[in-house]
Amino acid sequence: MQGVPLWPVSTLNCKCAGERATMNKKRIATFRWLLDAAEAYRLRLFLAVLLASVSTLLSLVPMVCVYWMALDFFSADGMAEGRVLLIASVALGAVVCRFATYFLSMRLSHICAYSIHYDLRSRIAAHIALLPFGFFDRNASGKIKKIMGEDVENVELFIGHYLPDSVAALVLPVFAAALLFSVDVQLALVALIPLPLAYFMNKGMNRVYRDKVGVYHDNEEKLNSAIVEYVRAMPVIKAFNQTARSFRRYEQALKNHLKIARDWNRRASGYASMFWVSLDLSLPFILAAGFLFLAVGTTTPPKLILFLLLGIGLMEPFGRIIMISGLLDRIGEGIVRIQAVLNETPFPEPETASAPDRYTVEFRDVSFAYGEKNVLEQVSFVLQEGSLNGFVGPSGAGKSTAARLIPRFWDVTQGEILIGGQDIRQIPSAELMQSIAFVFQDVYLMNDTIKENIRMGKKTASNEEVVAAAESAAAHEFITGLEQGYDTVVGEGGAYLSGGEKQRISIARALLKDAPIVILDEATAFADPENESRIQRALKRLMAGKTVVVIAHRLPAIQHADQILLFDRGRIRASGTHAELLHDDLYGSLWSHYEKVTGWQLPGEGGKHA
Amino acid sequence: MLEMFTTIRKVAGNGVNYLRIPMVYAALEGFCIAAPYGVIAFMLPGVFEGRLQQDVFWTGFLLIVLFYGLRIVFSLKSYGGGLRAGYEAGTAVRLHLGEHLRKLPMGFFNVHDTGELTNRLFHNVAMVEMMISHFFTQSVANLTVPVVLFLFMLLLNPLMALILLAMLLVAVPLLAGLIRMVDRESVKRVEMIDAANSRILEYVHGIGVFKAFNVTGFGFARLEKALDRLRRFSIGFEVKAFAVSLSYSAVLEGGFVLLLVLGAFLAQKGALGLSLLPVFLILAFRFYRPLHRFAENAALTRSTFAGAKAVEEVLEQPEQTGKEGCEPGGGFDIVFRDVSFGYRGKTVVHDVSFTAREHSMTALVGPSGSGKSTVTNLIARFWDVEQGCIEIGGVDIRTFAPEVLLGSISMVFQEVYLFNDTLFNNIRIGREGATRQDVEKAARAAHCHDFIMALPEGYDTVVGESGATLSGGEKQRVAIARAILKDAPVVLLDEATASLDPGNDELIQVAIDTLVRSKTVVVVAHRLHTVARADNIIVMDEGRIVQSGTHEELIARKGLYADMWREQRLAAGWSLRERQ
Repeated sequence: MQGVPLWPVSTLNCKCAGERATMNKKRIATFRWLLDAAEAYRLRLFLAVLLASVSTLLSLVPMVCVYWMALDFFSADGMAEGRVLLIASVALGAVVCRFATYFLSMRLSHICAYSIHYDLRSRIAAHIALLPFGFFDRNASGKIKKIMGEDVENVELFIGHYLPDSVAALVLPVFAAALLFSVDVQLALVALIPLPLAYFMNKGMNRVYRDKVGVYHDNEEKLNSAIVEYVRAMPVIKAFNQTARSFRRYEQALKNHLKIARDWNRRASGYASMFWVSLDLSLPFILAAGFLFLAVGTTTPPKLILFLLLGIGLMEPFGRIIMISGLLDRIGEGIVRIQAVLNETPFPEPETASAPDRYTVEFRDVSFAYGEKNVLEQVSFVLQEGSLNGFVGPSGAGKSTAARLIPRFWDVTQGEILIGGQDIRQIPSAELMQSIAFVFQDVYLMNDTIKENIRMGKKTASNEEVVAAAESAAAHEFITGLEQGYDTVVGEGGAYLSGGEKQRISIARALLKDAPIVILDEATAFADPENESRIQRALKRLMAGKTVVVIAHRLPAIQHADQILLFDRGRIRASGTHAELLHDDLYGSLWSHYEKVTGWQLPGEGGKHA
Repeated sequence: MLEMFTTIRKVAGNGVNYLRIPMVYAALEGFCIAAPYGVIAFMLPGVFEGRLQQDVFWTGFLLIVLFYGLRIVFSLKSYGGGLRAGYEAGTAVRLHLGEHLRKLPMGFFNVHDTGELTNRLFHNVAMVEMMISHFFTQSVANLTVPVVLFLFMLLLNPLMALILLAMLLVAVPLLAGLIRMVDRESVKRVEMIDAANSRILEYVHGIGVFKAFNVTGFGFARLEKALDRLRRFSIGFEVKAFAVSLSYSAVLEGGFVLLLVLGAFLAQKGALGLSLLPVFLILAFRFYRPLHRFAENAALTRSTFAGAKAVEEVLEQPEQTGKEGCEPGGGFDIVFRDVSFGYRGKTVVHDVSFTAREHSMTALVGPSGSGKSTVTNLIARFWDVEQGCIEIGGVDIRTFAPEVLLGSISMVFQEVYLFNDTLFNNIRIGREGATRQDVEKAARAAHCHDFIMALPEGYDTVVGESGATLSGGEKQRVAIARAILKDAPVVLLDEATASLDPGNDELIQVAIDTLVRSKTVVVVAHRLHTVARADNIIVMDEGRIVQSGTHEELIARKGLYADMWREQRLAAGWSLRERQ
């Protein structure tokens, strides 16, 4: 009969005192954090809670009016003239005030809730902007999205709806009980007779909950991952006729879900329904006691009327409190995740700000590890200003990592990286980013016009500059071929452009940025084979006169580089020009490998230039 | 409520039948909740006036206790039954939805995000489950109580009872209006939430770029704008919704006060017994409470109802079928006859006709967007053609059920999905019941045996979600091992060797050659050199076939192929800097 939104119903009581203490401590911590997050709105929230409490107290007034009227009715002189009007206006006034205060309370609490919601999201967004890239490696974007989305929404829900309501739910029985006790102690005690029953039913519910909740959540996780796998793997599943098999796994998780649910139902629904009934069980007790007390004259009809109105619903708010405490546990988990993000330490900014004036890049004994194992070990090299440098090596050799350390995607574990003789950790991050342009394989476009996407390279660029950059990047042609040209909005993540087109926009962006250091993932040029030569020309323009790092997959691309660094297992195995490196076994084998696979006779050392 | 029930019925199918009995119990429960007040109504005046006989009172009291006893039984039945209906129907929906999903054309999965679909299966069904568990039984009980109480009141004093009803009639349109408003605004709100969510995603995904271009502030501003819009709208929405729902409650409560006043006047005029008035008010009070609760539940359920609607949408997607018992067998030539096909209102393949012969390799090449991948997808019935037909062994492929058709096709895509399972099992999905030897043999042929043996647990190594612990090339070879093990007569390779390290690339070429012997092979490739030895090369451009022939024939002619070949040949040896 009552609103139980979720099963398993959560718990007020835990296994033992210790567990209860930690549980309560956790709840208190959650609650305290919520209040901290709400600091700016504390006064308004307090007001909202106060108004909700006043409103709930006003809800008692019509009942008291009935009592008042009954007092007159049953008194010797009967009802006085004009008395009815007074009572009616009090009752009506109370109803109006009750809803007015409740409305105000909800309005306030929702304004606070959405503002806190907004503040929290902004805070998280601003904070993660300061975090090193490593953070995003460890945390999938889906996870961060969930934190900024659902977890924050739960906080909003709690503050908006449940905080005022729960305080009101606590206030109401206290006041109602006080009122009833002041009117008639005996009857008030009788009205509370079902309380122990409700308590034991709740205890029974919790016992089942405790037994089952672990299994339930485990299975819920299994079910979730079975679903994810089932959907994500659908192409493979279909292609290999594995629908039955993959379906079985999903089915199995569902069957378990069903089993747990049945078991829970069997064991707990008795307690649960008895619990809700017991909250409404006062009537027969009050009635019988009232009859007896009336007979002996220890109570009066008006009192009995008041109890029949008010005493019956006395325990209902307890149900609400139980629901709310369950919710607090759930948002607690979200809050832990929000806190974890906000507690991530951002990169420290240097105290003295100074920009480099030269753009040589130097690695000095650099070691780096993502986790335990070093990906780079004692790497030292110098990239001269204005030179073209190729990073080559088998996959996993550390060439990409080394390149990504230059813009401080991560900080080195040991050693230092210098730009123009300055440790990059001493360069303000804005300054550092300004001096480096990178073109990587995964291009990210915003859901905005092409023009704006290119202009990201230089926010102050004029339309002419944007077009010029697009022309140099061989993107102008396809852009003008689009219906709305530069004003075409690209889809989420740039979904409506081909890989090669996105690539060229990202090159245009980098061209516009005109940074003195260029880091380039050469595989980029692979995205769009039929436009390869155009992309290549664009890249050449991008690199002119810059300090360039190319992470090379196809050796011919960097065979005329000023310096080639050959990476192998986290170290630099050799460096030099193409001609010098050909004597190295590894380099030589990579080179011949490439020729063999492509089946093309490549213009290698001494070969004719294509 | 009726509309909700119809949707739920559509979504849950027979699962809803579980609700029938609990709903009957809920009605009985509602009756038992209300009935004691009927008893009281007839006893209380006597009690107040001290004229009720002991034995009459105790008889009435016993009756009340009996109703309570029955109520406990019925409540147990309706509560437990409701829960049962919820999880049984929820499970049935999930099974049904799962069955349905696998019968949808594969194209469906290309246009729908996996996150969205898992959301349908997980959260939305959970919502439906919750609705079934609680909403319907509770609503029945919440509505039965006032009906029964109203009948009692009608007996007590028809005039007062009718006034009560009149107030209700004023309140109901408000509730209906509220529900309409919530529906309407919910749509807008969902849009705004989506906008905010995609801004969040954009921000999180794009943060690298934002940082790199020193425009975090700019990206941040975009996010903030969307969030602020959402905030403003949400506050407005909630405030409006509260205003309406509270006026509903206020009208009901006001009705109570009106009864109080009217009753008092009637009592003073002697038209209503002095003792009867409080009794009537007690009943009226009980009359309103379930109606408040009903409104609260209805509003709450309304917003979760969107979840049920979304599930319904997926269920309404037509399934793909074939003729019972038909399977490919009479040869495996693949023939396209004047095939046209498009999606999202854009034709992607125009009048394509060609034959891919058995025991030969047919290559599809062309610029990106030329429709070559679509052609392979059509062979596997990822979509069904709109015009023309595709035949395998002379039979229209739409005759074969998708799973039967796919039984004859091995596919290797650029993207490889590995199950969260051992490598052994991941390869064995190629052929159920394959032995250890079979699997190893296939793995050797696909050149993945060596790297598998180098792993600490060999074939028993569990690969993580999406096989995250293997490199792209390794995953690719596992996929090829699967296809080798499957040994299907038709092999489709879509960019199976794209963007791999040269070392991996070479091994994979060898592995594919193994796969190709004695099959009908169709290959999609960007890099022409990988298909130069194909028996027939079909060159596509803008959805049409523009050339076909062997490599030698095609480079001898002027045309797209020769241009592409020249371009790629240049590119292969291209250098970022000319020789100095």
